[in-house]
Amino acid sequence: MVKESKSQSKRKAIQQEDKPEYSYGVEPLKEVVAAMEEVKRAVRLVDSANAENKPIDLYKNLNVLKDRVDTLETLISTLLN
Amino acid sequence: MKKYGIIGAERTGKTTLAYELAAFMNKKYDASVHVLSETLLRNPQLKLFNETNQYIFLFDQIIRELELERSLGKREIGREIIITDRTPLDIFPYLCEIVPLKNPILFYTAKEMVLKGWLQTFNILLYLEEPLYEERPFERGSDRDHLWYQRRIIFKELIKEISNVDIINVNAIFNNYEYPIAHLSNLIYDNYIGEKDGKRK
Repeated sequence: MVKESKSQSKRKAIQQEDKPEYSYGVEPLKEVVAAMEEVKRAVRLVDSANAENKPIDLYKNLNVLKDRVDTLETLISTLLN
Repeated sequence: MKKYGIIGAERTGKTTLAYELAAFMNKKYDASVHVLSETLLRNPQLKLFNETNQYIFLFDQIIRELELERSLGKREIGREIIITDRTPLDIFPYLCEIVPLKNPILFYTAKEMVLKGWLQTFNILLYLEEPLYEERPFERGSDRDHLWYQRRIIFKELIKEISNVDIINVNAIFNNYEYPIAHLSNLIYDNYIGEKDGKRK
């Protein structure tokens, strides 16, 4: 049996609730999605760097940032779909 | 449900203003005003000043705004108003102090995202250029005073880049009106009513 990923279960939980109507439309959400691609690219770069080359300014709390990006991505994809 | 954001450097009185407006509007307009307060108080482990933490604040703020909007959006009664005592724009004056930035592309991408995207989700922005409730929060000439001054200048420059959202200069209202909170509340409520009628003011 395929185990449900964390983001899939989050998405499912959000989809079960009613979606509110956003007065501002979807454009701001699309801007956020586009910027998140750059965040994910930056995270991948830091992750793939050798341990000694990992810039501490970016590396510290990187997992927290990954979690926020994942949460926001899930939230927005549910709102946009 | 509408959202109003307060912008300004640290110690300018953003949180106090948010709660004063909420209290006044709850009483006068029987509105249901929700204050979304700052992230740092909820995440003490993020006190370390680095690039990653600043982006965490940015995303955390957006997530919390969306989640609050989602929870309030389902309500059909009452006048739901959100006042955020900061906006995702707040991280940029702090990021400007990190020289050199490890990821300048991310800085500019995030800045565009906030200026051209996320700030459009606010119905009005309330800008505090000067402190509202204390004359000068840090000792004149100290390092913190210099940084504070620098951040306020950066905020001023960022404000010039905002388009398509009404910005109210709160200091001007405090300087010109006897009851500034009442006046600001009226402006917000007028906007709220206008929006409800389908007009973007």
